[in-house]
Amino acid sequence: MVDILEQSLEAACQQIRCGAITSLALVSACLEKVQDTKDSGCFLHVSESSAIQAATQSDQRHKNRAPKSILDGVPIGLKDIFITRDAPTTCASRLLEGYIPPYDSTIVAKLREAGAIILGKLNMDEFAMGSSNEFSAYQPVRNPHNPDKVAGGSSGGSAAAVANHSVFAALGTDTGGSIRQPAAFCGTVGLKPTYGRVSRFGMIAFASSLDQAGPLTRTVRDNAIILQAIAGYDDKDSSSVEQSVPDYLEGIEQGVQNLRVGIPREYFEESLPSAMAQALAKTKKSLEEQGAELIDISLPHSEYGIATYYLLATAEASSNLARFDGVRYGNRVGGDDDLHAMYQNTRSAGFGPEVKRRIMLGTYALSAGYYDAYYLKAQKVRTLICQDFRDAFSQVDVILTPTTPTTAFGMGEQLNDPLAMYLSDIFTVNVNLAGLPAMALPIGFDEDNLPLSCQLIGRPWDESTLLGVARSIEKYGGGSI
Amino acid sequence: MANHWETVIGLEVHAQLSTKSKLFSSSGTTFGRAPNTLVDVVNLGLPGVLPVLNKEAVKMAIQAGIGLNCTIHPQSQFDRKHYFYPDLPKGYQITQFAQPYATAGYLDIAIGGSETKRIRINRIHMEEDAGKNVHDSCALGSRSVIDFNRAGTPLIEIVSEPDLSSSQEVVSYLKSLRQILRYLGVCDGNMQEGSFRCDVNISVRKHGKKELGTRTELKNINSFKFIQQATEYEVERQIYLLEAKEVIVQETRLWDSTKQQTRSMRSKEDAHDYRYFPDPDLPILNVSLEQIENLRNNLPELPNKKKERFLSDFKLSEYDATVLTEEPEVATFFEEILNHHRNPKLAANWLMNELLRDAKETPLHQLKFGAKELAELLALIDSEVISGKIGKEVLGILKEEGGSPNRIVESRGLKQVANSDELKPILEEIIARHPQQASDYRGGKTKLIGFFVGQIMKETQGKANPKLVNKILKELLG
Amino acid sequence: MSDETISLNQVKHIAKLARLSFPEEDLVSMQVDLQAILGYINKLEELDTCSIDATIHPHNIPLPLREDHATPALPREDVLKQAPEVLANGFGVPKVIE
Repeated sequence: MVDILEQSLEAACQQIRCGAITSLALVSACLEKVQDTKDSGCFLHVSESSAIQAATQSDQRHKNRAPKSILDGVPIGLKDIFITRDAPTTCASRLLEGYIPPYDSTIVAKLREAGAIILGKLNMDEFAMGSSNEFSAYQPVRNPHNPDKVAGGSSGGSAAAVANHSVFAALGTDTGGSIRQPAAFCGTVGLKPTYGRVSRFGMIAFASSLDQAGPLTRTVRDNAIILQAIAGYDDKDSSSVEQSVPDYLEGIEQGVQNLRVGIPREYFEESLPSAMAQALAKTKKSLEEQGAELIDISLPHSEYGIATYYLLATAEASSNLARFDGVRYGNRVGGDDDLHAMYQNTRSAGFGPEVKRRIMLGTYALSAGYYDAYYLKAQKVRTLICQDFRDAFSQVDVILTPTTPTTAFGMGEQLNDPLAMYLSDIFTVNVNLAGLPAMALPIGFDEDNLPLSCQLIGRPWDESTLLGVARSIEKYGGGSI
Repeated sequence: MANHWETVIGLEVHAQLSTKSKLFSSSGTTFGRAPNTLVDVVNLGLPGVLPVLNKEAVKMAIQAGIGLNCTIHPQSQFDRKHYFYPDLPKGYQITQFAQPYATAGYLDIAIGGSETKRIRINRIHMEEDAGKNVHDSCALGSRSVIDFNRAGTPLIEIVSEPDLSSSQEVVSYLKSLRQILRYLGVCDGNMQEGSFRCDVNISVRKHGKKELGTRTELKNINSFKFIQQATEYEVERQIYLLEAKEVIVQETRLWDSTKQQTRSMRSKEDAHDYRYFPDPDLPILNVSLEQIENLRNNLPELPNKKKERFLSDFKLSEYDATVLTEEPEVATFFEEILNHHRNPKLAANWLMNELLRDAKETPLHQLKFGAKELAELLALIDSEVISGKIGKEVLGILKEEGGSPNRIVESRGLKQVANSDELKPILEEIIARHPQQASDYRGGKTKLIGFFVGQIMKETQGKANPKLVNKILKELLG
Repeated sequence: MSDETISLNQVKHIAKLARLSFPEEDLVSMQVDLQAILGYINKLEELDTCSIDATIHPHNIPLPLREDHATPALPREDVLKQAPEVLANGFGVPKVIE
């Protein structure tokens, strides 16, 4: 039974379409896999009965030769940050334990519309704050390649569930690297689309000007298929942008002939682990061999990214999380006689340590007397970082960097040093500040059999080029799992 | 003693825009619905929801800005204002702080006689309303109940400069502001329902002093009368304290209409730190200069302009023009009468004396007839088909049943008798019946002509043409 | 921001603003964490940003506007379904004092 889970999402779609396999069989196999990999901590909620029901309906549609889309009948997973009207949505927080919302996020509505089967809700760092998935209020996610290592975060459950074949694809969100970093740690393909490409409606907000949802998959083509299903303007999200959505599979096999690939020197100055450096060198060489031109570029303000990011993201988060007050939803603590105490008790009991730390930092950055020095300053540095990329993209078509400074680190290793944890996002945050599309792509394994990854950064709205380059690396250059 | 002191008052008015749906979401805005039945996922502040701005609200806000002589900015920004309060769903209010859409306007208010005073308007910004706490019900004991129907309703906040110096000026400003907003059709101005709310910032200082005294803020007062009383009380209180060498605490105060005094509210709360920052969910609002000019050129006529026109075009008295332009509904009704029958003085008299007196019970839009019917009636009077007296009778029928004045006059035979062949015999008979009065008249008591007129009116049920009657009587008695 | 450090009183004040409460020992460790992070963030001071505009949104796009159409409200049972305390068809909270 297990072998049908080894194939790509695209292959599974084709098998369903030609009647070689049923959606119900796939869903059953996935559910079994979820059960077998329970200790990994990937799932916060398994929608067993509704998935089986949806699969049955999908099989009926295929029988009638009227599938909703290429995705009809394929089981996928959702990070538990996406609002679903039929399943609990907790954001891995105690505060929202058992919360069942009365609406569907736009992404979920689109996936249902496409006929995809939602297998369940995936673990994450609480409110997407963390880089290791150890800040889930429920349980950490273990790395599928080594249970003593973290899966990365915050979309750790999404990356691990795709890597351990519990689902064919998963949706994650990326505010400062939360799709790309766990994808790198777990050896999957992770794409953060251009800010505004995918609707944020119904995605619980962490930092509104940085958040973007995207797919985690095992192959580049699978990633393109999922992106196709979720991309597009949404009139419920004022920050989504009316840009035409191209056919992402169309030019994906075109190769990299004459493509200019920027190699930003600031991203290679850090002392990378040797296996990672070697894999990156091999990737560069392979691109050159396929006809791409490597161009040395500079992104001079890169080193200010983390400081800028942690001011802006925490300030926005402190505001976005103010609604969790125990009045309309969520688990209230106290509140027998004093309103102020009800707020404090509810929020103090409901939020975990990292969320509280960030709310504190963000509240401080916005508070009277500090706004100009912190928040406004960070917004200005953000302008400089955006300008760096604009300058770079006048010379190159795509930028290649490492995704992370290290491979997956050990469980508990950085738990008590928040600053060290923040610094692990060093290669990913600038992309969010500039609102650019970027991908994490597996390029082999190190000596401990932990996945290695490279990051590709593209021009705004140019996910197609990213996917094309990634496909070339996947075919001829990098490793795969 | 008290006349050493000068009062300095600034006003913040929250006016609810008359849109069908909320500022950032699509649930309705009807007042008085059952609790929590006009709520959607967005204004309930559920996790994951996002705001989308209402186009009509922007249009109405700009119209108000133009009507109040403000500079309208082609770019403005929405900010988040943070505080925790159970009626505030998201823990922040979406408002405009750093870059409001309108600034630097003014409003000329009447201050007795024909004198006016210019009150500067600092800024106008758009913002969303909060929900409502219900806590006066005894049954609820130590609990409050939150109703989010009002949450997300579009407001404009109109902030004046501290240019007002008496409670009379405050009321004059508010009345005139409310009138303008109603004329523009952007706010119904209903104070009981909270669509027009006012915060009064009051301080006093010694005459001639430059720096302002410590101010207090009066909040949530829902009638002009109470605003005037509360302002007067608060000014007195501050002067009393200062003369007793006591300190004024900067605080928010409420008006207790039963005790006729102001009292402190939430004074223990820490100084607010609202942590404003630009709302990342809402990009910058762009309005083109062309759109602004278009709205400016198509702005409904404002009360002052209309009054001037009524004075010059219709030659109305100052008083009549004031009364007829007070409410946009009345002014429109008046002009519509004139569209069908142009006798401004007659129309003004009939509208003011016969319809506006009962306007409290029966507003014009609830009448069973319209301006066109009233015009028809006035035309009948002007052309002497009926007398004014019969006209009132016809109006009574219109109020009861509606219908067409022409047809009423026709079917009930109310037309004037203006035929001397018909009237003469009747008058001769009356004179014959009253020889004493006739001889008295002839003896010089010419006032008795009224007696004879009264008699013939009785006999003809008021239908005799008074002019003709007079003429014939003079002949017969001469 | 320079070399200013965040005092314990400031940490308490910020916690109050954010409606969070901490046991005393957690306040101290929060102070230590914030100090370390703010110390790192001071790195931004190296940059002269006087003449630089602030970026609020990653793309310079205009705000889309919605037509003024009212749609049916969320059924009240859905509105109140997840409420910790329902009272008189509304959300119950400890008495709000004015």
